[in-house]
Amino acid sequence: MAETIPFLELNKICKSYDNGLVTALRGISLKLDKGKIYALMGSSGCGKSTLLNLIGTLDTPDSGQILYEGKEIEAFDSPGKFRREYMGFVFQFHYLIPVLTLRENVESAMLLNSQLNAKQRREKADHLLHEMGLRGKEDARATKISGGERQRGAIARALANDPKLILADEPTGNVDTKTSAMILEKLRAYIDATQSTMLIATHDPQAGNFADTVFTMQDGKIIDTRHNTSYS
Amino acid sequence: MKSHLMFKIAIHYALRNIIRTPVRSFFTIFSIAMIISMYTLLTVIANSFTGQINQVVKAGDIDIIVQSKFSATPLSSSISQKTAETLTNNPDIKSLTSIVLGKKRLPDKSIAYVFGISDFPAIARKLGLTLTGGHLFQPNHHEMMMAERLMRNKHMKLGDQISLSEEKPYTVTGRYNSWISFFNSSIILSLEDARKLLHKPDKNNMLFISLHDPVKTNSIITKINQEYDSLSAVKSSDFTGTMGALKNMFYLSDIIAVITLIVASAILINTFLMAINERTREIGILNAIGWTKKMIVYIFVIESLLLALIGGIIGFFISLGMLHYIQHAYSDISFYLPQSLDLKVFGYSILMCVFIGVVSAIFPALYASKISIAKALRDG
Repeated sequence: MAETIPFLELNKICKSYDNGLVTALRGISLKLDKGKIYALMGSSGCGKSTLLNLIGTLDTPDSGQILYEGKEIEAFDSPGKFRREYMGFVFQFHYLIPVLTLRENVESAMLLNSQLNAKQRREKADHLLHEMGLRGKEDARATKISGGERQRGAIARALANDPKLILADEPTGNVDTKTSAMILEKLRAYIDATQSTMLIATHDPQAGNFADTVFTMQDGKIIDTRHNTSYS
Repeated sequence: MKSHLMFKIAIHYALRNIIRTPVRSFFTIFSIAMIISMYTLLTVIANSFTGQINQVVKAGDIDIIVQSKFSATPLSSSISQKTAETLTNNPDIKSLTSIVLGKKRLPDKSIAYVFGISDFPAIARKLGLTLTGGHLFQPNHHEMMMAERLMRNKHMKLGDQISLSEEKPYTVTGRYNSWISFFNSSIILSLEDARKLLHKPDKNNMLFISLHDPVKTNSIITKINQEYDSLSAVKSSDFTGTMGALKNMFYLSDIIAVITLIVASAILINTFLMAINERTREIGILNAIGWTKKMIVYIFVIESLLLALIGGIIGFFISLGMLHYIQHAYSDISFYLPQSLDLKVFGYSILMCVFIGVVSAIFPALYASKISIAKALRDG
């Protein structure tokens, strides 16, 4: 029987900083499938964010191979185009552009690869914001809303291009428990509806429990893999 | 790229970033405004003076202009009447107009330019002078004509008398207008009266020569310059280029243009390097969500253009105010000043701002577009 190509495959990924003085990742290998949520857990400095950055093509590994649906990043037109078409990023600190409104922030992600016209783009941005419970906040700037609202706005931006892979770095790290639960539910609903994949780097046990599979990292290695049966 | 939305977002982004750091934006705009206003003012004065001289020589059907050698301006030139008369013996010369020119302090202590022009009725229209009231002066009758603008400023009317020396006062018999600005700050008398008033007996400042055959202009110029050691004859069209003071003004204008470009660009580059330092994480985010380098450069160029244009437009209006102020406060140099700034100068200022804006943003924006995304997100 032919082996199914995983959605994302990492083979022996290594990464170090400061001319090799700081080793962040030591030969990470893992496979991610479509329609699943994965969590990377571990203490600060264990390499979670570095791994997300490498998968997100925001940085390059020193050695090893990352395959997206069986292809290396070089097979795609450009990393920028690849990120636009494949990925949505959610960061711990929302990182919305403070001088733009929530709607403009979401629209800014659709500038290049969306086939939508201005009206459709606006409607889609509003729809995503409403989905995130931000009705009435479309014209508010990031500086004028609460931390939870900002994070939901950032998730709306991450979903703007219907990404196949969502990379979330501590998405609930800066919000209260209620908002955290709401954010995780919204993300779960999106993954279930679109059969896309999500990888979350988190300290939050609530986020860990919410994933289908949890990878535990320590000193740049994956030391444990746990499957949560409630979601699988 | 969705250019319309991109432009809209870039404009929003730029405007809000300008407001985000109001003090820095204010001083950036203020510095550009002051630099552009200085450049505009100097350029417009230099251009205006050249333009006026050129208009005079063109309108006056003048082929050759003669001054005394080594005189930096017509005011410092001096040609004896005897020399002028010998020139008229040349059969190729159709007509010769003598000009006496000087400054005179009016009773209110302000300065007016005094012109004495030979054969004035014949040449008045050619010099763009229009009589708007009264009549021409009569030689040796202590009569004069005064520019309408000057009369208005001095609250004078026809028939008024004005003391310009210890002698008998002069009566204003006529008022005039001219499309040549410096005549509008002047007094015109007969050649003889002007010589007396300015204490230049038998002297002329300039000679305007018309030839029967303009084709011979170069050969006549060569002849005058060879035969008269004390004279400097030039083609009327080259006249402004030979005036030392004007040349200096043009050099100064060019130097200021270069300084303007360098200083304004340095200010903007500094502003943007600081902005990029502060917005490193934002740039990382834009990169992360798939913006191209071109788009990142674009938003910074738009912001820079906006700052430069706002500064440029304010600078233009400052220069208008400065021109107005100088016209009234320094009558000594009103001779050089245009009556207003025209749209062409405004266009040049705007073009200069566009150039400064684009050039200044490119380097910092390219730097911004090359920032490592992971580093920007981590350390930004």
